[in-house]
Amino acid sequence: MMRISISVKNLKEVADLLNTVVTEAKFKLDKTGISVKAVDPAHVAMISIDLPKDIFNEFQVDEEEEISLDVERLKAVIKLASSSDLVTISKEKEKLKFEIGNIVKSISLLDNNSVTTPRIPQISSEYFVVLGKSDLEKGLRAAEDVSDAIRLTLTDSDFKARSMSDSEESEMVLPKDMLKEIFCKGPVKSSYPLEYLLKLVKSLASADEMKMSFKDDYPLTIEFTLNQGKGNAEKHISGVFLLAPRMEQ
Amino acid sequence: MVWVEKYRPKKIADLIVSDSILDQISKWIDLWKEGTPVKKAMILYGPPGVGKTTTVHVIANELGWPVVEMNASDLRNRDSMKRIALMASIYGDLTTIGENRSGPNKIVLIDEADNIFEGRSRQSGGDTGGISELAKIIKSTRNPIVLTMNEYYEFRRKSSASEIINEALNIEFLQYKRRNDTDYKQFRMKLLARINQILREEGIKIGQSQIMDIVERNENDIRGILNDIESIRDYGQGGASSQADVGYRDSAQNIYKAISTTFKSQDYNKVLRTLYDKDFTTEDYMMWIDQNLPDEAQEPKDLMDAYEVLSRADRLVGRVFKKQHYAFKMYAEEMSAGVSVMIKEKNEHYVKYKFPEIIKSMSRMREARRSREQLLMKLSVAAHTSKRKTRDYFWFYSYLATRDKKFLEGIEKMLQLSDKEVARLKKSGK
Repeated sequence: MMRISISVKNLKEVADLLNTVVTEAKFKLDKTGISVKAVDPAHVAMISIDLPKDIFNEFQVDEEEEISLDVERLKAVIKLASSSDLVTISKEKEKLKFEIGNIVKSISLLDNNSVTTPRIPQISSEYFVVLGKSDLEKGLRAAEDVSDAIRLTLTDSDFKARSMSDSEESEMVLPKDMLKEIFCKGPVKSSYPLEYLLKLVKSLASADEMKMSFKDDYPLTIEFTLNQGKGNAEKHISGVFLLAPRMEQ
Repeated sequence: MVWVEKYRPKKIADLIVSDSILDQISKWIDLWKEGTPVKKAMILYGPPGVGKTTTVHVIANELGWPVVEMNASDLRNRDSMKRIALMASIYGDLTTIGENRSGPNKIVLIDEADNIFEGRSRQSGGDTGGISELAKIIKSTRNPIVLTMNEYYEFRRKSSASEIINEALNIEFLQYKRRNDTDYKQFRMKLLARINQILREEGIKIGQSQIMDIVERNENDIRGILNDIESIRDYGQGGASSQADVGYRDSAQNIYKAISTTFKSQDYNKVLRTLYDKDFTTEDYMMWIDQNLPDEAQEPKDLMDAYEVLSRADRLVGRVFKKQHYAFKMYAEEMSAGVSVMIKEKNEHYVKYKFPEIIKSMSRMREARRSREQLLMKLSVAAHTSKRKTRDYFWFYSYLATRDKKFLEGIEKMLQLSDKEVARLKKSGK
């Protein structure tokens, strides 16, 4: 028996976030909540999202269960609702039933064996920066038509995002006073795929700030929380986004 | 789990692959460990089931490198090549982040690369731009890229494929070159040892002679061999002794094999079985029989009977096209296969089968035909009649053109005929 109810706004954001990386995802349900992990086919981007039980309006999960879904299909269902709606989801045999207002729609589940869940690697860097999402977005947009990769540099006093091609260049420098938090000893730098960063920032509709940690030629970890600043911490959807570094020659 | 999966080699020692191939591959991998080699890609080509893809996975496994694979079931157009192969080729791998931070840390595998279909429209879900994108990716990659394929020569004909071939180390996945090679003995020994080991583990007893039959029939297709032996187990011991139970592999039969079976075999059913998996059309088949029949049928009576059968089939094909009942074409094919029964006296000698003359001359005539068709088109517009009717009266226009200078000048001006077309018009005949 599984029956949950969640705000369309939250579900849409989760679906958009997953869609930045994959088209199919496997959700793990247990008594404490729902979690989902996904890696893109090139093993370059990874996402892990936790939806604690408390964010749901109704949460009935009797046993541990895995549900695999086509994310595009999920998004198509969500489109039927307006963001203030509430959606109730229940599992019926091999189908997932969505009730949104007067509409009932079922989508078929995917075979759990056909969708793989990655193991989240142990990545840790003590150097990090916490910055506003809109600041980061500006820097990314400036770099968008310059190159496919963006180089992030962190020093003890600022954060830089730089993109270069043979003919063009773009750079954003955020000094310490424009950052929420910063911790770094000496400069570290690494390049990451710009497209994924842009997609992530665009999908993060309800997050205001994010924590980015990395070091020299090392994966980038981005931690984010949805609906920040409203209610207590247990009531938030949180997630981690990982990006592989560009291999320098 | 099917045996092919269950017994898929995990270690290099388990591979049934000649040492010379493994040697070439590991030398190439060693180059990658030292830096970026000149040839950043490797092409493994050879028949299905010999272990090309498996070898790549096993080698990656031993190195602890993940494999980012794009196979024939993925869309492989320019966009998805960029999204997967390009990304994987220049970025690190999140699944194995750890100690080996610098240097290559994964293998990008483009499986069945000969099945990337360039030049199809977006609507038909083609792989437009996939090969040219891959060529670019190979130039900039920081990780080894491996392509596997069956049809190397087919692949080579695709646009941009030569760029890839020139940038790649090309290895033909041959188990052995000749049957008296040491490679051949080694291959046979490894293969039989492996089969017997699997049979032992599964607790199945099959006669060695039957194993040899299966091995012979599948040539070097190890996957085929395993599938066949597994099917014996499924049919039970009772059926295991009879050959017919083993079933036949679906491998595309080339036309030479089909023609040779048609002419040499006494068994009509066997001929039909060969045709089930053909990779040529019924018309091709009939033209090949037509071309080579006189060389095969020694007795005039056989030749006559065989042609009788073939011409009946040909009439049927004509009707099929006229009525557009294409499903009936298979009857024409089965009728043509009856040629095998008609040749009572089989030719014991080797016959070198020739390519149908008619196809050759037709392609030679194509240019001439095209100019004639153009001329007919122009004439038909002027004569307010169909091209077909114009063809029927062509002799008349031709006659006029040679006799009546004024007519010729007039028509030349009106239809803006080229010199070639004028010459063609003057030449009588259809």
